Amino acid sequence: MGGFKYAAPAQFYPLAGKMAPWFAAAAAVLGVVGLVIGLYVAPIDVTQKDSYRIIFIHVPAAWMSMFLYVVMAFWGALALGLNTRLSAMMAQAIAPTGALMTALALWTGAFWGKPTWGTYWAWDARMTSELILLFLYLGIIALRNAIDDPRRADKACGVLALVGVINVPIIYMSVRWWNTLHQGASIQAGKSSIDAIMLWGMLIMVFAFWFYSIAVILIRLRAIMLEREAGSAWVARLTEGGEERG
Amino acid sequence: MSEFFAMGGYAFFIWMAYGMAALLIVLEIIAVRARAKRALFLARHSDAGVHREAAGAQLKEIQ
Amino acid sequence: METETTTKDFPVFPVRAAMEAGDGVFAAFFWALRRDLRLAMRSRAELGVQILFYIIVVALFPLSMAPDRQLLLLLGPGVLWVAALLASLLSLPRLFASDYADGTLEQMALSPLPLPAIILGKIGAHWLTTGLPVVLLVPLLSIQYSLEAEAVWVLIVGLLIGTPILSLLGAIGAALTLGLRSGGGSLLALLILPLYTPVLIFGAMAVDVVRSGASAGAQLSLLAVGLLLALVGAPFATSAAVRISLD
Repeated sequence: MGGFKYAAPAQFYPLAGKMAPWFAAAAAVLGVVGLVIGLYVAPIDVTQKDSYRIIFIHVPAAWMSMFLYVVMAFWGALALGLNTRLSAMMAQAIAPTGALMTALALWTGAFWGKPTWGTYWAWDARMTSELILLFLYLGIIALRNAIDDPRRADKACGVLALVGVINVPIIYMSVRWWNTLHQGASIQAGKSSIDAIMLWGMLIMVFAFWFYSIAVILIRLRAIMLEREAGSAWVARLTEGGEERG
Repeated sequence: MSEFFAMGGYAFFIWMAYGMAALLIVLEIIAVRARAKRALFLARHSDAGVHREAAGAQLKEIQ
Repeated sequence: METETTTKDFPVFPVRAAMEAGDGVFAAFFWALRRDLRLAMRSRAELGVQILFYIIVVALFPLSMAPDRQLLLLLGPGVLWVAALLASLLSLPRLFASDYADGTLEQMALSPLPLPAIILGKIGAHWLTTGLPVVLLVPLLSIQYSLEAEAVWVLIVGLLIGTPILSLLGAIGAALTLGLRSGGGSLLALLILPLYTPVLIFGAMAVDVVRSGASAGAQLSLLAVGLLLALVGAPFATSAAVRISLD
């Protein structure tokens, strides 16, 4: 029941404020360690030489892009089913960071693809699905911006995220099958033996991206809470008394 | 040092990828902090705004 | 001139008749289907324009490249599919807009008849008036791309299964964007086109497979599975979206 206590924005606001700096600090420390390992310590890959070092940001960004969409759909569905304010705000706070991670995965993928496969863009299953995922994120953000009433926006975005989350695997499968049929750009990750230190570097970067996302989302969540609940009793209490430095 | 930045001839690709990552992350941090600041400011002064409007309305009634 | 009516003449629901007819689901479905078909017949000019849009888009592609016979043959099926997607998209706002504007949609949502069944009826009418003409035009338009008979057949079957999916998925987007000030059309495109991609891929792929001498059974049955899924899921998602938009 510990988590349930924080179901209301009033209770979660200070908690999010306390947690965000810790996640940010963890992300910064892990990020520095991961970068040192990725760019300096890790040895040169046999087949891809130094170009493989993009993996240390590409893979975490790609993972986060998909993971955040599922999490966003989960909170959106919860908001839809239980009519809870906090989960809707959570979904709202996740979308921009998810879109950013998707764009980053596409960008880094392109700059990894050029030296590795000789092209910035191929209609590969993963790249194409990632592009469509970016459109899905942008659609949800655009839909929210188009709706004035935040409660209606919450539910509409929840429905759209749910439809999207059912569609993402179908899109991936269809693109993949289409891709293998045409033999256009069958892209294989270089079959190089992954060094233990490379694996560590990647793992550390994944956690750095994860903590970064949590920190940014928590800060955005706090802003959204204030924006949407301005004028409510708890915001009034908050802005009069303590939390001044928050 | 220059050898490090040269990245074995892949400097352009590596630094374009890492540079964009850094740029996007910095931009998001700036944007989200500005949003938090603005939200806090508006929340603090929303009451004042309401009071001011109410005060203005009262003033008009008196006149 | 007594038939000079608008949608306003239909807000009163034949609830009792529908209930007496037995199953509310089927009654609601057929009531909505017949009503929307009748309304569509009154705005035949608008329907004609939408079909014309499809024809023009298909005709534009050869003008954008060298009208090389081999090239047209290769691109034809994809172009016909993309044009079908765009035509479906263009006609979607019409699905709920007028009923939303004059309050009929609210009456439908409040009536004791099941809303998903009413919506399925409306989607059915939408497909019959915008999707089916697209399918029927394929034999004619494929001449422009000098497509072979085999490809035309697969296109027709694929579009016959695929275009209802487009109407079903599109209805969700149309319901979500009801009454929004900032251009429903372009927002609708952003919401719906990414969801259309699997239909496009399977549909166009079926033609390629047949051309390479194999059977397109797998692609067409996957489209059929998609249609079944959409038939089950979309009416409920759309009615949820309609209720959200009416709140």
